[in-house]
Amino acid sequence: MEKVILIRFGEIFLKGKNKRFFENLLERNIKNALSIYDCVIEKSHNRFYVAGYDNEIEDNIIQTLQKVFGIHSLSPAIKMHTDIDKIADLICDSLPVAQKFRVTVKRADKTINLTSTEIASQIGGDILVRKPDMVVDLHEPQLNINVDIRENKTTYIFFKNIKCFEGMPVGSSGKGLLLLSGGIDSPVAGFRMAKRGMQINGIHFHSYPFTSIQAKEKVIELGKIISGYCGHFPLFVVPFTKIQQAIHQYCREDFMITVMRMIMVEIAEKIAIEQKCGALITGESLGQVASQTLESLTVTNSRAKNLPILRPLIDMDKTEIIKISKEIDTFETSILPYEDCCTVFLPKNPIIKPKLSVAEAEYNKIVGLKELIDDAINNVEIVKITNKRG
Amino acid sequence: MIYLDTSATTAMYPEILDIIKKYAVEEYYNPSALYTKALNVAKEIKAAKQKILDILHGNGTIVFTGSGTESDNMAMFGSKKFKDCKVLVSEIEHSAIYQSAKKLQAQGVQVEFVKCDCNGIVCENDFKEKLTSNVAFVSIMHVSNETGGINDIEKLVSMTKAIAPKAIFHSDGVQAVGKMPINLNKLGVDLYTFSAHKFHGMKGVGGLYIKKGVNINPIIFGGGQENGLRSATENVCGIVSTAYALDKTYKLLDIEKNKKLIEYTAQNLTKIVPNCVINTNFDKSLSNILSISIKDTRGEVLVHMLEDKGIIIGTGSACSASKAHTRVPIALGLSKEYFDGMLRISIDNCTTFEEVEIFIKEFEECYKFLNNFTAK
Repeated sequence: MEKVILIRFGEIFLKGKNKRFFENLLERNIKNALSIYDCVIEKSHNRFYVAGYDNEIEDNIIQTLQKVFGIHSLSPAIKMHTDIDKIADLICDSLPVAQKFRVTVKRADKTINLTSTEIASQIGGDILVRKPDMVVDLHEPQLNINVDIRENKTTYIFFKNIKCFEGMPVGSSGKGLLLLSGGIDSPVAGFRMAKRGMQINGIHFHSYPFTSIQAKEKVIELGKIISGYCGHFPLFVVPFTKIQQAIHQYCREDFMITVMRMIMVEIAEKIAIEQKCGALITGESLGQVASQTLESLTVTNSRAKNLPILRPLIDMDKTEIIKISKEIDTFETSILPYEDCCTVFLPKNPIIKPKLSVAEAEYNKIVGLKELIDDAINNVEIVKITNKRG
Repeated sequence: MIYLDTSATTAMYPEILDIIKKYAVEEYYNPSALYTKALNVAKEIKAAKQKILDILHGNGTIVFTGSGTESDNMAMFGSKKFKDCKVLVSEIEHSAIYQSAKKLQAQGVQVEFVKCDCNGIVCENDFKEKLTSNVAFVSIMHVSNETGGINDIEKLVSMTKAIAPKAIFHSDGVQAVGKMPINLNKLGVDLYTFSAHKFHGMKGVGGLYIKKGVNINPIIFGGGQENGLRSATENVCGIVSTAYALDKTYKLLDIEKNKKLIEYTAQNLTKIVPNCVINTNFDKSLSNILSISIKDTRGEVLVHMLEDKGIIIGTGSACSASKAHTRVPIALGLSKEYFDGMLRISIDNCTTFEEVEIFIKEFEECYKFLNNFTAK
């Protein structure tokens, strides 16, 4: 008998001929995620098992695995050599407190002459003999005792099924560059794309001394949390102060944010291409603020000449976004009061429906912009954020 | 580096390291133990207390705590309250008192906040109005950590005792001790808070003076150290070094020099920044703090720019729109355009004229540059 954690796949079941590719990727991601723990990963029949670990770290392993995309669910289980007569004994030894129970049996091993239902009733009967206080309730049990009898003379017993995020293994859908501001939305956007299998890099525009060191540290902290879901997370910190100053100097006040975002997208695309990213990712949500109206999005979109901009939150309400950010633990960091843009550069009345032609005219007013952009890109600081899983 | 944020903290006197070594490595005995070596340590603590009482001219005792904040909490929550009583604190108190008072209020105690003037000094008229016979506890800071404004504690104590003789009067002296001569007997306070790191002592050491005859309850329970008022094994290194630091600081204190430096700084900054308000009234303030508010400017940006030039100054209230950070500027009567531009320059015995000169020059450069980027 041995304690194991059973890992079930999600959507990659459906991938037909490419299934092997997805499975291998998921296996790699699981191994990477669990590399800090002393354990082994075994694979058999559309499942992985974690084995050979100390009991004390079981919860840590489970918490880490819950963040690996592509996993449908987990169950801490007892692994035993198949012996129908001994199953009830083992169950009774490790039974959680409950009164009403049911036994659900899955029998892949067809060499056993009993049906699943017959095995279930035999085990249930054995349990009732040993635990007379318990009663069987097939419809509303407090405890569902799962017995999974596999072909290789191995049986797994488990009492709970822990749902995970599902999604696709990170790395199966290319690489995207996430524009990370430090607010609530962008980390959620990164999470959502990572969940669809995208490997995520981050980019942040930093306007020191107009914004504080803490604002940058906050973004790095958010990067660490995101890296718990997507592994390696390089963050490109772009020195943006001179460009901010130039926008302030040359552009119309109401267009300052519009032009700022045009330039951010332009720089992000250049860095994305350099880093072999196939897309930009933003946390924009339609109509949330002046810079996220359809007209504003049209203008910023115009600066991404070669890559698509993915906006996974485009149809979401703020409350929905906040709900996810709480679930993925980025909320508390996102609401720290360090602003990502100094009020000096924020117009009192930003344009809500900018015309592309006017925005481009404002953009073109900035003297020496190309050099400023090149200078910013040449001075990018790369923060290699270590994978903070668990 | 030029350090002009001494109201936030000060560098520990380096020779305190020897004191720490002595009581952490050599004479490390638990002062509550019965053997002679431990007894000797207990004597050192007693001597340190007496030294502090002598310097601050107090007839009473000192309870050592872990910080000024803890001392304030002990005063607020440890002093006795009675049914239908009232607590008075000023609206510009440090958060250690202000938030404690809010907590007391949430627990159902009637708390009133006394107004202050534009220099951070409590309005005596408002104090008088709010002072009723059912007042059980008063806490008014001796010196404002924001503006340096000095409250006339002696007068406020006698006003209090005349109307509410049983009231406990506490004053937070964290910004005053080591910066101006203190005579606790003359002030007449029942309780008085200080913090060692503000006068070149260690961080993590605070104290609460308790006047003879005044009784308060502990807020920490355990082994009964500090006459049962603050259970926990004594921080011997901290306690002994606090007495040392206080003594040395007062020996070095040169109020006239500090006053000249700070007024010189104020005169020059006013010339550089036409749109500014000086929150410090030099006739009624400590000689070492200058609080200045600049219109439509983010103080935080100036702080960062100066930091890059090796000069450290403080912001009055953090550069944030959050309500918690606007309490002080509102209390000072500043209008909204000045909220973000509050700066605090604070000096001490170690500050030189040359340092102040460099600061003024660099400040001018930073301010002029930043002025190009004020909100359109």
